[in-house]
Amino acid sequence: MPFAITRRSVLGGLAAGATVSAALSGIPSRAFAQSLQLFGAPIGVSLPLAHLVDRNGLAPLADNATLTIWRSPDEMRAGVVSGEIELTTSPAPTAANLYNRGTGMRLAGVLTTGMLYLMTTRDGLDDLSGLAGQRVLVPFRGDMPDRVFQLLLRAQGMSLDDLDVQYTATPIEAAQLLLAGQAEFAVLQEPAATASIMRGLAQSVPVVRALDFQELYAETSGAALDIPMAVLILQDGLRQRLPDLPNRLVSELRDSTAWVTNNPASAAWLGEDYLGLRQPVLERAIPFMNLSVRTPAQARPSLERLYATLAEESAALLGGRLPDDDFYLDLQV
Amino acid sequence: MSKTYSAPHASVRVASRRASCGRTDILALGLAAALAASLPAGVAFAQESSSGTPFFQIQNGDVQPSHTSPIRQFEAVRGAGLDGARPPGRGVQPVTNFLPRLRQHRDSRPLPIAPLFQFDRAPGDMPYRTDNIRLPGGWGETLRRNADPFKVAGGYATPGDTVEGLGQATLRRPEGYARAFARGVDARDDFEDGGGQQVPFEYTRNSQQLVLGWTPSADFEAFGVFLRDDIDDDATPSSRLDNIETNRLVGRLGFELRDVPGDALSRVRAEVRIRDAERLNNNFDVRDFTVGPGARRIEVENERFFVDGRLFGDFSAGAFENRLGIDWIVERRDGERLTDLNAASPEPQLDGLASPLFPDIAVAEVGPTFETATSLSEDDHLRFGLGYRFVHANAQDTDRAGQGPFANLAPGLPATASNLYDFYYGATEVEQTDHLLSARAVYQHEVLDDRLTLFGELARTDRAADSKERYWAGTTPPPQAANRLVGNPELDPERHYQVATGFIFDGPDWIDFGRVRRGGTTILPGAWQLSGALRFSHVEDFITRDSARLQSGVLRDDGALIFRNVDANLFTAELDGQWNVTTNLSARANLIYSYGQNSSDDRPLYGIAPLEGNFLLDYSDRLGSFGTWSVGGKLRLVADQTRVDDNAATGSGFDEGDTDGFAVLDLYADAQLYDRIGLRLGIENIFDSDYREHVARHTLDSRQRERISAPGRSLFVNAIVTF
Repeated sequence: MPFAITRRSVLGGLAAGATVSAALSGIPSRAFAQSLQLFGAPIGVSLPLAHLVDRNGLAPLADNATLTIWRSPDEMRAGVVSGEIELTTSPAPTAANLYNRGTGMRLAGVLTTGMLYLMTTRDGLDDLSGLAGQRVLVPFRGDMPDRVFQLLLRAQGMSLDDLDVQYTATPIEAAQLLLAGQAEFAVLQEPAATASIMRGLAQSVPVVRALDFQELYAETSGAALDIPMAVLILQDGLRQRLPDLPNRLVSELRDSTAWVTNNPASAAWLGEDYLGLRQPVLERAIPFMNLSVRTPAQARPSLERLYATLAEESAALLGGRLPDDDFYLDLQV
Repeated sequence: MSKTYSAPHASVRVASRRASCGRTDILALGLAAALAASLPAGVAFAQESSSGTPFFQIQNGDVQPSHTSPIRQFEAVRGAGLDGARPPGRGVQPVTNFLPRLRQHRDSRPLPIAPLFQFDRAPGDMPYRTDNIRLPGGWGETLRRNADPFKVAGGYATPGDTVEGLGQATLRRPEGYARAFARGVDARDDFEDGGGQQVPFEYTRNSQQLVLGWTPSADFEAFGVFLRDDIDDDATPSSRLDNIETNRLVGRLGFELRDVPGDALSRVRAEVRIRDAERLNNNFDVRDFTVGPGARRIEVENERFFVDGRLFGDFSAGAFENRLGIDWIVERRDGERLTDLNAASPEPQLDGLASPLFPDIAVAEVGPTFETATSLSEDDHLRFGLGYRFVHANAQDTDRAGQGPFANLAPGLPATASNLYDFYYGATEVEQTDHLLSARAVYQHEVLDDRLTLFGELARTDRAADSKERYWAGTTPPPQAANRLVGNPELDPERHYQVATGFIFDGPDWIDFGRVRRGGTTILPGAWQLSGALRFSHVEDFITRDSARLQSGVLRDDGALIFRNVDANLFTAELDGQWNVTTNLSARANLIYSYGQNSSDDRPLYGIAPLEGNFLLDYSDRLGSFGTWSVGGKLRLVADQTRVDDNAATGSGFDEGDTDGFAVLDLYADAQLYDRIGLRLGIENIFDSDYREHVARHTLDSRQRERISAPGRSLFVNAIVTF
């Protein structure tokens, strides 16, 4: 090939080759072996786990960790029961339910202080009393968004009977009906709440974040308690094999959570690769996810209040009873 | 270069002539304008087009993703003579885009408007580098696309002692969107090439863009784009003239209706665009001019005005998605070359017409297009397009003759445009009409869970001569006949017969360069992509530049630049491989080969790039606690080009000789803090190679052009803040 080879160009090629060689020597062998599988929900609380896995943050304790995203709580429950899933994020009620069923799953950490919002296409809503007589879309009947919403209504002296509640199978369905004008209000959690705003921009439908349920919830508790919606649970067998894992996990997850919060655009790209959610939505939703990592002890008051609230309606949601002390792992982080 | 430059003196003179602001003031004003307004993520610039392809791309106010889908990687056959033979894409594609834009036909034009917003390269516009493959965008991509409504950036590059500043503000609401953008560039000094020679390089540039959209409902969107771009005091050592002033105004208005009353159409879109460009070139403002024997001030004034638009509707018929539309373009072009009738005048008088140059040209094209697309099966897709265009061209001021020593082409023959055409081509009809018919069929087959895409296409496309090819009228006195520029009104339309095939093969974990699909297992060896394409085009009546020497249909043998129809063959091959070696380390190799032959005259076609290989390596840490950082480099290897058409006595002489191959290594490092603050450092041409591009961009067209060496080792730094 008639390249004009000069001393300079040869030096350039050698330098590039050396760079390649040096870089290749750093290929982690972990790409070809497995030792620890983490599982996560297909929502934002899995972003810190993705960051943790990608930076190999559990090495050398658990080198070669991977993250698998489950698609539904049922899939996660089945994996836990079968023993395939030993470490996963979980909705807080499901975590208690699995513990009470004797799966050996215990609480290792709480990942958020709540991400529930009342979204509306109408201006001028200042508090829940404005919902009287209005149709409100609520996803997951009987699940946490529904229960928290009812709790807040009761604190306002209202009940579902004062509203026209329409339940939907998923938050996305609720968002779609909101944008279609089927209702003017919807209870949505992130990132569906942000997705409804962005979809509204595309469809010329103004959607605004009318009420922050976290604030209302704290006001009703009298002790400024939060909504510990998503948690991290760990199987006893795994804990016995890697006794240092829980403390290390929570410690590293704190760093990863800080990274997600401080780098929302980069974290959203990571989220798109792992979760399949759109980067622009995730980037804008992260500030409203209220991500934080607390030990079971730190979050226990909030959890117990949430569980008590849920048990008032149906203890079956928690597996028949409130989780006992053994549910809360004693971490020294 | 025989000319000497004196930038400071030139700046003073130009400032006094135009009573313009100082450069620093202009930069500051540009930034202030950007920050004063509130803006959206609404518009992405497409490549500037010279032939009716979209100038802007608006998609409901959203910024276009910058990482292209695999299928789009074929959209530009880079570095080849074929510059835009489009590959199969998704959905219906306009027939008007089917026509390859050949580098040989690329009209010299000012520095490109697009892209407005780029951080991976040195600040400023450097026409003397034409890399096929760019470096990875690094943090710039994240910050450019983040959700912050305000972005402010600046940069400095050692070539030309160049500084750049820009700002953008975006506003997005359900009812509409707005975005304002402003950029200022000041290149203040010569640069040094790899051989240690000083190359004149200076200009100032200010660009502002305003994008407005109105979306009263999900079914209707109206939009407007307004852009102003001024370039001043652009030293152009490759030509005998400099670009003194370039002022461009662009306006685009349109609407899209997505819920059309009745059942016939599912969507209607209409848009109209207006472009106005004025240029002033001379040989005495930026460069030194000394009155003396043989010296003469020359100034060229050039104005182009376009109005183009399209109207189309989409409809379904069975399994076929269809589009029926009409598009049109009207161009007015006027220009003249002025001089001092008294060549010894101590001050510029510019009181004499030296050449009509562009004699009030009017070209109109209009025609319908029909496009359809269907899926033969889940993995087999077919699309077809058919278009007709009626072309009417005329030059209305062809009887104006030069003055003084420029009055005659030959004794007793006034130097008018019409006489020039007749003098070279015989009795010539200035007013012309053409009928163009184009068709294109693309077949696409997907296998291996859509990871392997194979495509093939057949096309026949017609292209009419452009305004310069038809009517350029650069008259000169008889002793300088070889410097004449002679358009040919009677050129036949080109007829391209194209065949292409190619593939794109993705590894199971491939997403994009630097992005790996995550899952239960991280099989990094599967994060690769391999693609390749072959294209062949036989062109009947290819419109070539040539040197007058009594060819068929040419009456003179004086070496003037003329245009004529010949037959030509073009071939390009491209192979591209990308591999995300780890989640941090990515590599890419790209090879492009081009071949062009003037088969009528049995000589190489001019403007064919040599074989080029690019090799990229990027190491990125996207997970650092403070943000992101990356380092990397690109090795560019370009072969000699000896297949040239550089002899005006036997060929066109439009190539500027053989070109030696070269190797250039660029390195970069960047970091960004919390997705808000970014910094990029670059070292270009780290081994100080002395090289010139074989096919360099020129901002001015003339018979005498000189290739300019690219900068030697140089540094640049870019910074950005978003909030």
